Amino acid sequence: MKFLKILKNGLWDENPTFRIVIGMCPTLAVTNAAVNGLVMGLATAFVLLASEIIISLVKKLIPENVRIPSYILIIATFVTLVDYILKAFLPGVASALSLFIPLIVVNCIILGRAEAFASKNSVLDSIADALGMGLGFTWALLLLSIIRELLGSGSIFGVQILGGWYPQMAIMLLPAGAFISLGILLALMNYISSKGVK
Amino acid sequence: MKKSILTLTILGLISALLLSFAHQLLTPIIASRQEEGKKDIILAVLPESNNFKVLEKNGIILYEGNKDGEVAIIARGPGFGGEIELIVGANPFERKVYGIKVLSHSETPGLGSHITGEVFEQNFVDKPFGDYQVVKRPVADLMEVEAITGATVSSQLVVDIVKKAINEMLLAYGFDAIAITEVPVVTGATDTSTGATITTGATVTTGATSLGGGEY
Repeated sequence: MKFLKILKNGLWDENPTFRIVIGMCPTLAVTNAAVNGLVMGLATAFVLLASEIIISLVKKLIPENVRIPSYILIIATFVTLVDYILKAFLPGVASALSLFIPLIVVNCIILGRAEAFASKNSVLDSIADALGMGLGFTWALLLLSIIRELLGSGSIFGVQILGGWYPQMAIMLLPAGAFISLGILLALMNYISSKGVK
Repeated sequence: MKKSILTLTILGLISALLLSFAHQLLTPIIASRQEEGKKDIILAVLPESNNFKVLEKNGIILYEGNKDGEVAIIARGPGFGGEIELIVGANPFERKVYGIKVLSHSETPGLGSHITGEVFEQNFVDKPFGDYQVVKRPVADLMEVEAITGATVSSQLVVDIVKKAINEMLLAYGFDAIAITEVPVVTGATDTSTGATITTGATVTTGATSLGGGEY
């Protein structure tokens, strides 16, 4: 039961994007196409899962005063791995995300969860937290990028949905469009929460 | 203190070991992906060839397909946000372009970046050589290229590079170059004196200092 509760916490109650509003740099920058949002979310989720597992396992071995550099070292290792794997197996997406993959190292969701959760909880709970937060981040990015791609390019995952009659709103693909869509989604999430939807 | 140093050293060693292992394992795959990618791209602009050889004619590197007359050439020039590199497949004897592919660019994501899209590339499929004009409406004749919405400058600069590539290819095969109309454009990079207008057959120099593509 506790596992599910922690999972739901990341997916909804403390969703990193919509509730805590952290990790905004990749959120705003890469969500101009659904595939980019999805891969960015999953790459972050993978790094989060692997790092939280390792950190919760070695938490007692790491002295208090060097815990942050140690966490960053562990996170950076997994990020570099993801970077290699994407370049080897998904070269197209890797080049679209370019700089933002290495920047997962400094994504505050990961360091934040390592510090706030994995360093204080059991491995099983950390897995639940990583999955919840990781997938919570992924669905948020996916939703945002689907909206932006649909309004900006008239397509979803590169498949044309809206025909030639649709005046593609280029602003949705630019940073301004990211802020506008995110703002509207945040307002919507707040509204839903305030209505007490469980 | 000692324990801290020890912890970081051990962590660093484990991390380095793991990553060098991954690097060993994945670098050949990454390199072959890039090589494959390049080969596929060259063949993609040569419709009937299934192989090609690299040769140099008059100092210009050409990729000659195994089907007669099919030639690809790589050309570079300034873009809106940085250098654009693209490949043009054409037939200098029949004087027509088979198609183009953008190899690298740093145009605005979501706007200029559409130069890599199929819709824009379709503009150049089976197009006779000529002094193409960029238009902001559906094309009315073969010498026109429809600009990408919100990225007229990027579209113009791609067309300039394509025209320059055609001329380089024509010169390499001993034909006369086509006349090119120079269209002045303002790029997003710092220096707008820009090599955007390309002189026939000359090596393009990027006048603009690229700041990279980033608005982020």
